[in-house]
Amino acid sequence: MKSTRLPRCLTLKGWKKIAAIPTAALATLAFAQIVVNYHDQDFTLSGFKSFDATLENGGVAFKGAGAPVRIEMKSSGTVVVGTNADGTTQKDGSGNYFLKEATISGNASLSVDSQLAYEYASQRRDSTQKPDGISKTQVQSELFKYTGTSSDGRMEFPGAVTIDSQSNGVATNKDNTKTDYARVLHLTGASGFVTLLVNAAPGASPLKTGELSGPVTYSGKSDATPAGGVLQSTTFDGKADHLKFDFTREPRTITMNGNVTLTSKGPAASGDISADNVIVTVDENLKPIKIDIAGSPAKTTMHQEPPK
Amino acid sequence: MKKLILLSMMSLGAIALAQQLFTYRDKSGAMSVRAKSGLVEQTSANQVHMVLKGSPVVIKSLNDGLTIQAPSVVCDANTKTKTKIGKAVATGGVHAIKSGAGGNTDITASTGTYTSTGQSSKLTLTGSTKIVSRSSTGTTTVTGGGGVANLDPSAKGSGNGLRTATLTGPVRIEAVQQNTNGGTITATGSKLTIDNPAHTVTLSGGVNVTGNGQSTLGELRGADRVVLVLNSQGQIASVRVSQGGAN
Repeated sequence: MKSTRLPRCLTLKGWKKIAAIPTAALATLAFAQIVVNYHDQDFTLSGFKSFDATLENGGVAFKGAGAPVRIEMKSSGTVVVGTNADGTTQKDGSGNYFLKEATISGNASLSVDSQLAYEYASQRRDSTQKPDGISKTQVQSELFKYTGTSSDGRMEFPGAVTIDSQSNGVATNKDNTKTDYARVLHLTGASGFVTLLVNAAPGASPLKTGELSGPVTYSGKSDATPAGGVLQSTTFDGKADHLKFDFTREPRTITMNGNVTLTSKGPAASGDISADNVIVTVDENLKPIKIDIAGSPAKTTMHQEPPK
Repeated sequence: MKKLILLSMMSLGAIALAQQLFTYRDKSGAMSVRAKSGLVEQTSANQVHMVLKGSPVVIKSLNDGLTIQAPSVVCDANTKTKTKIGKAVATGGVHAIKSGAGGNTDITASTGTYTSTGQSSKLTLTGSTKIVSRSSTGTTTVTGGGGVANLDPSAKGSGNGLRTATLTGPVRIEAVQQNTNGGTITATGSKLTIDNPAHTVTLSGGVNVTGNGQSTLGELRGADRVVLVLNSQGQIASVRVSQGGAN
């Protein structure tokens, strides 16, 4: 029997090769478009199509525009992106850069990613021990102003803002048992500010304090699985005219005022709230552990488990 | 008249002694010439014309604070009050050393044309060019494909004797970074201008700047224009970058 051999391009192998060509070309093109303007230690300025900069012993002052520009400080896992950037960075005592002040506009964002910081530390052999958890927090706004030190920073946004924070890992309890945790927090507001830790412990939320003016929306999920136990999942979402949080001291609270709605499902509390003022107390993984309703609750159906 | 006769005799002697080393020294001792062969003639009451060949020819002018070395030099010296070089055309590979109060500048190129008036001294360079400025605080090395160096016209000018310089072609500068222990910065581009009175070195055209291991500076790539700001010791204090007409 005579066998017919297909042209190579019509075989699966051949097609794969042909398909790989534009893919590779696109990848090359995408890679080629990233222009690194300046790099030193953990600090990289890239994507600037026009810019002025002053490079000195202690740091860098920069001003420019790109589509977009990217400012990266790997030691803290901080990445700033935007169309326009005007700011200064400075070196700390270890030679790592931190953002001292900046105004970023045009789909501006700032993220703090503990995985990026860990990878940089591993490359430098500063730390090779894998952390128990990872966290990433991203703040996005059309424009924000930042002021900071090597340990923390403050972001102010005159316009709409979106904050996404997530972390997961293994926590060690007081009795030395372990709990796997994962949490997600999503906030939106019309304006406001946040303060954050630049060098938060891996797995910990870098969010310290913040205030958002409304309309504010929020949602979150917190999963915890004790060693040998079952998954406990808590979800919450809602709206308010104003939201304030303070995670720097105990009890950690999220305070919401004006036309507050809250829907929660979980072992700590389940139900719906519609009230003037609500204070949610959260644990270190931002899992709601207590809900206080104040003012004039218009309609509330809530079941709270008694504290253990 | 007596002077002219003496010089003519000297010229004849020089021609006769071709292939042998000869030296010439002006009356005041401010200028000395060493060559293998050549011609030295008094072209007017205050001017001496020299056509010299050697390996190399060495012209040393104390009043210019300058030494020129090259295989071939044609030089006009003014002898009116202080003997100084008016013009010197050096070919076949020039090496000029300019002394200053705080250091010196060493310049090499394929050819060099030095012209000096009372107020300014200019060395026009062609071919592969290297300018090395030395002071007690460090060495700055600049290379390029030719250009112009403006030198201090006095015997002991300020600094390293170099006022300004502009080089074209692929250019490169290596200089010490201030407040570092052995930190140096290297910058490359297509054009470079040293302005020592303004304490700046400006590079343009695809400028790259890199610090060495001891430097606190990282890597800058492909900038349109970079200004290296120097401190009073000629060390790099900061780097100003501009690209694409920033807002």
